[in-house]
Amino acid sequence: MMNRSLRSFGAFCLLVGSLASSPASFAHSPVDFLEVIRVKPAQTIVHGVETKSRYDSERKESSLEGPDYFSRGIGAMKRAVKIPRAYMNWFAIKDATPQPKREVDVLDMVRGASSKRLQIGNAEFLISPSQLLTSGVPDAVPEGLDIYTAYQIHDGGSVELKLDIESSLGKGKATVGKPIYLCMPTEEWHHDETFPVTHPNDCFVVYEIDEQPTTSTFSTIDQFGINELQASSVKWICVRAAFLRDKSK
Amino acid sequence: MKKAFLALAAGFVVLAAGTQSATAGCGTCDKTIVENAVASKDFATLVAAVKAAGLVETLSGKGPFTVFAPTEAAFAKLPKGTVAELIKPENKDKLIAILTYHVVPGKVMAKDVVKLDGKKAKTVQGQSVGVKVKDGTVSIGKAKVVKADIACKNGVIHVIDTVLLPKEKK
Repeated sequence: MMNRSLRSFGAFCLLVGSLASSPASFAHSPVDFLEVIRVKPAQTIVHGVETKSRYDSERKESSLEGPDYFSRGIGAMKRAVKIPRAYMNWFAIKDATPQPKREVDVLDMVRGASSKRLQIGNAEFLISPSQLLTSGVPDAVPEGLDIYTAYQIHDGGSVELKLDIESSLGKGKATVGKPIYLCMPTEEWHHDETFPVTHPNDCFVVYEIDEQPTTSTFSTIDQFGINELQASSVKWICVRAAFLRDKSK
Repeated sequence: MKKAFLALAAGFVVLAAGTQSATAGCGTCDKTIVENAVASKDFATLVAAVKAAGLVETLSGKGPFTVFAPTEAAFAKLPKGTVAELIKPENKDKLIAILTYHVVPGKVMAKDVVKLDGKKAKTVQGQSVGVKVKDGTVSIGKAKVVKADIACKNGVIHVIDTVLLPKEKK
């Protein structure tokens, strides 16, 4: 336990040090950690948009369906949740073009500098910033939060690290397991709007955590309108990361 | 009334030519507000009313417009015989007033509608309608928005569950 805590703290220090000494484009993410919650929408959105990520040579059509997941900023590793809180809706990409396996180096707050290499594959989700609707004008989407494509991670080794988190379920511990997605910023065109990539090297690594049931219903607003989402379980955690290089080139 | 409506429509901001838009897979973006309403069974009464009021051409125009579109269930909440009475030729001005009370100039997407919480939006009819965001629900006047952001070629439709009625002029 002590070793894991030290490793976690070491990883955090390394990342902070790395971010501080890196180009400005590494240090903009308005959120450090997000919990990812399985949801059932009142209205399933089926919609096409055009997207272009680092791995697309040109903009392409993506057929989306969802949202299947919802994420919200949380506190973890002694870092309080950032305000305004970040929210995102996850849409499954139904017609994703098969991608070759790529090796990339990514520095994230959980694994740290000792283990940067990841192998990624197909795109599975498009993740769109959203706003939580309660009463009054909802908080604005935090600046610097882009649209992201979640690419599958192949054979990511389990981290098995216990993190102190403050999530929608309250304060507790979460055991972080395997990395399963790398979320890369993605430019999107939807109707007359263009959503640019503001920070091309800011990304997230998504890890499995112990699945925890939850029951809540809430409304969000995203680029597809207003939707009521019914949450069923907290499944994953998104960890802020910095994209370093593409090793496949 | 109709002239004023057209004048307002002509003054709307038109998106700059050459803007590259993505309408692939949208389903509604390449159709006008009227075409999308006609294609949905849930707007049969609304479409009949728009036709009776002679607003088809206007709402098929360039716009952009934001239409708060009442569903069939919304019209069913009105006292029995109200719709039949309104679509009579002698009540055309009243019908136009009610329908244009559901239209706001410009393309106001849901993310911008919610910014109006506690404020009023001026409708094409001339009167304003209140916007409220409470407990995760967005209300326009006494109507709840049940579906938002149906993007159209000439604006956007937000679906509401109650017909909005402007104050009668004394």
